[in-house]
Amino acid sequence: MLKKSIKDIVLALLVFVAFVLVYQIWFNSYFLPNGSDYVLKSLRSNIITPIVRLLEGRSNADISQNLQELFKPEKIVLHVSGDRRVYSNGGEGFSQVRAMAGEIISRCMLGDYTVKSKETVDTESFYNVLKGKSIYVDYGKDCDYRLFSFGVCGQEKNRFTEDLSVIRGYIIGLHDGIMNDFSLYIMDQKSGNIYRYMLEGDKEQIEATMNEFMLEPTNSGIPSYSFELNFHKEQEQMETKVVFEPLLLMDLVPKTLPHINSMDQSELERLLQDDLIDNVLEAFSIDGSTTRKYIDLDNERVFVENDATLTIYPNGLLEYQTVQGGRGLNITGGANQGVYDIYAATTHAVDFVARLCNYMPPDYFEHLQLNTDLTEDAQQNGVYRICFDYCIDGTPLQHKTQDGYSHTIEMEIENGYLKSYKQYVKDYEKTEGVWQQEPMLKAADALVDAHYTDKALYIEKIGVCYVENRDGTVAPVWAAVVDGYDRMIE
Amino acid sequence: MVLKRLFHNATKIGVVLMLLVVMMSATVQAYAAPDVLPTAVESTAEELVTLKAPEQLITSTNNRKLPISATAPQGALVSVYRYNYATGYYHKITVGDVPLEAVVGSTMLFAGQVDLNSGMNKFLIRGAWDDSAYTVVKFEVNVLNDGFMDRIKSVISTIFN
Repeated sequence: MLKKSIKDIVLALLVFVAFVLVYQIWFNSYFLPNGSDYVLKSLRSNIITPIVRLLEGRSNADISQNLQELFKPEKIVLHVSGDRRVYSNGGEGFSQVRAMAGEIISRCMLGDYTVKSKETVDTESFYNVLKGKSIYVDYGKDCDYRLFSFGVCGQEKNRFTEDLSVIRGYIIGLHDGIMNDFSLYIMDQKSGNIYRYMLEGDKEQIEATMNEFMLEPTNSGIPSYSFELNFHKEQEQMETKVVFEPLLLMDLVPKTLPHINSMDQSELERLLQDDLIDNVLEAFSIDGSTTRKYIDLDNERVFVENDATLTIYPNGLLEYQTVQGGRGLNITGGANQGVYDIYAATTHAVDFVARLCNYMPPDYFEHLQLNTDLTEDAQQNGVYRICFDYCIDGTPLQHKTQDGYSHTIEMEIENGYLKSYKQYVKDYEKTEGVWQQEPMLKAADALVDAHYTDKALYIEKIGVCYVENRDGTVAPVWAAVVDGYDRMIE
Repeated sequence: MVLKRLFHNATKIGVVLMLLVVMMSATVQAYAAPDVLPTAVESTAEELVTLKAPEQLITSTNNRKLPISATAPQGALVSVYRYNYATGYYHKITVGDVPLEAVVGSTMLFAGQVDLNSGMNKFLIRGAWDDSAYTVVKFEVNVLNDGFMDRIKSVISTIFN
């Protein structure tokens, strides 16, 4: 009898100890840093949400609204009666022109305008449209058409989906005739086909809106496309050292750029106070109370987790790096990772950046521009590198580093997990004074001097970009993409 | 004695400096294209400039600005002139007091932009090594006024209606 009682007491004690240990593990241990919250969050994000999404399928509601905001053209060119205006991202009038072009293309995609005919045209016809009344919207990078479609009209698929897979932009061509139709030209970068859709629409209304924009006075000259200057093909009479991308716009009169100052050190130090750090740690799912942290000799704040390190540098650089073999941070927000493609990767990247930007200086997010090609790379399935540039009046800004140049944000994602992340959290402002821009051909001369051997260089892109030097000063330089390589001309 | 030597050395240096100045000014002069050219000016050398845009020597447009592009050997000085009906000469074009000319670099390309006046605009592009070796290309651009374009449109509109 006594023996049985002792057994019962021991059993009860063991049950009690088990409860205590479970309580310790769930609510007070280092294994589950946030106790019940962590358990509930894990349950919600890893079990409940995926099941719900699996049952519902992917809907537009899953897709980031931030993507629509950040999916901006690099430039929009209006051409009316020999006058041409270029609107760059962030520059004056850009958002209004973007809204106008966005509404037209959106209505085209959603079927508001009847397609009267569809045909493929040659490149000469495509270029010639730009000499007449037209709106040219250039995204400056290859874009997956589903992404483009969502970014423009909020739907993954539309009436042109069958024809197009990768695009860089589109042209709305308005003829001088009396009919009220207009044409939409889009080149599929994958097949090389150029489609012309003739649409029954409100040409007069579009013309009237364009004319309003053209009324704004401008002091600058009219930039020319390289095909208008015949710089897009090899010269017949003499040796050709350089060939320009046909749709590259070249400024033929000298332009000026405003002086730029970066946030001063005391302001930056105020920004990098504990509030921001707490929010950044939260965004990276790092528990500041349990993570190992230290400040090194260079005043860098380092947070070390099991499989990743987050470093906040005094110059405003924030760097997250997963250790080799580490899984990284899940940035899908519980979305289905079954088919992880550029569409999902871009959306998650933009959402992650938008969340972090909530803690940055005001308007920081609005200055950002997606910089990398947004297409599938067959060689690297599920692995994506997505970069953003900070733009000032349409001019991107890069940062000089020990190894070269860096975008404002660079992130690497592998099947929904963030492997590395770099962001400069600084803000910039225009100050008095201007820089006189060197002519573009001078920059091209420098490229030829540095890189020409025996085959003509192919300049895909060339434009001015601000560079923040390591001492914090900012100056403009020419940046180019030559034969697929990024080149800076200093 | 020392003073004499110093004076002698200073004279030598002065002569060398003067020679350098003369040589440099001669070089600069070789690269300074004349501001005015007569209408009868003809090329004295081949292929020192090849006009790429406009593609034709006589063209029409309703644009108010004209892009001009050309190819030329590296080091050649390319200048653009406009015919002045009042003086009967070609005058070098200036854009905000800066002449529309450049020494062609490694790309061997030249580009510029000029304003067009109503009616006929006559231009000349000159590629030169020096005052004696140069190529000139003359071209004309006729600017159609908007009224003319509108009349064409209204005629078409009347026919269709």
